[in-house]
Amino acid sequence: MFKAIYNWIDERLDITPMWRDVADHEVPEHVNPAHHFSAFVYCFGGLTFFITVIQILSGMFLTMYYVPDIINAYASVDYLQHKVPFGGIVRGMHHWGASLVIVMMFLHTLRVFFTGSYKAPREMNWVVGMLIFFVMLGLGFTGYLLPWDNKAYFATKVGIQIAESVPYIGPYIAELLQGGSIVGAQTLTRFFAIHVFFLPGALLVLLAAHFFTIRKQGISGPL
Amino acid sequence: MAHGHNSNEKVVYVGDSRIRKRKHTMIPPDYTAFPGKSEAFIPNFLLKEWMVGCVALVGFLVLTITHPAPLGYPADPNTVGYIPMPDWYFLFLYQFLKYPYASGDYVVLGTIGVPGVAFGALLLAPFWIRARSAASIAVRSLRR
Repeated sequence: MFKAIYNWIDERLDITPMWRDVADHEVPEHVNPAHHFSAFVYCFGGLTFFITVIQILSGMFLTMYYVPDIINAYASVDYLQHKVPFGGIVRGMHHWGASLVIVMMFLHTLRVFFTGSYKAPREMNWVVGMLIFFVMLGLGFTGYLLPWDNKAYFATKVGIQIAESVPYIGPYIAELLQGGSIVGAQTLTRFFAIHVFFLPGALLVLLAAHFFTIRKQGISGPL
Repeated sequence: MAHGHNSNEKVVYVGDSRIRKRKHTMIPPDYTAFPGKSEAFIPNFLLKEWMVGCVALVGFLVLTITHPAPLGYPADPNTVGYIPMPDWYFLFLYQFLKYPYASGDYVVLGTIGVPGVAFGALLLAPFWIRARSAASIAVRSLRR
């Protein structure tokens, strides 16, 4: 039946070539841990993506309960953590996953660097990867405020002070992030919007570019 | 598909709806230049990747179950003497900004100068690290 559905779509949209471009390729021996155990270093990129998917899914479930306003934010996180079935697991995955993404991304960057894979002709993919890294740091920074506990509040205050010290444009950046002159109600809604819509949107575009490039160029050769 | 004059197709596109035939289809690179045991991505290698993913997921779940995500007291701007602490991956900047020539009058050096140069250098690494073109690993792979 699936074959019939596939054929029905394929007749209309000619999706087989797309499928071939995405999935039908060979994995060389030097990146396959089944043949050389040391090739496990090539897993870190995939694991970064895996944890990113977990972050997106757990984040989607968190927004079912989270309320981004200063009266209810803390209470909603508290409720989610202690009252909602498996809420602690979902929030725990999102909390620890944020760190794991950074760790995995760092290991992936080390692998790419020390295998020289960032060199010509793959410079663009390195640059895109670094932009993904910055977006991830931004996601970490904006997500840190959302539970609206003391740690979140004061860390964000310091973070915005750092942004404010930038010459000329600093005060504008600070006001843009804060939505006013203090860390308050506007700041929380802005950080929520940035964390849930702006940065994930940028992240998905960059990831698409990252994967398109690696499929187009193929994985780099053995050492 | 609907290209050409093959009238056996069930769906035939006409006029402007015709999808242009691609002149350069992307042929996935093969690795015949590296004699070795290459393997189909789907399903062989992907299933192995998923096994690694399962191991990682179990470890991840063990971490989340044994260590619940922390939640402090509700934010109160009037709290006195609270020492702000960023997440661990920003601690390097937090520490760096305590050094004499990265704080006070020189804070711009600490917040923009040094981190800007460091991350800028990292961002543009492929363009300033000289690739020895003959020996470069990546270029060698291109010449397969």
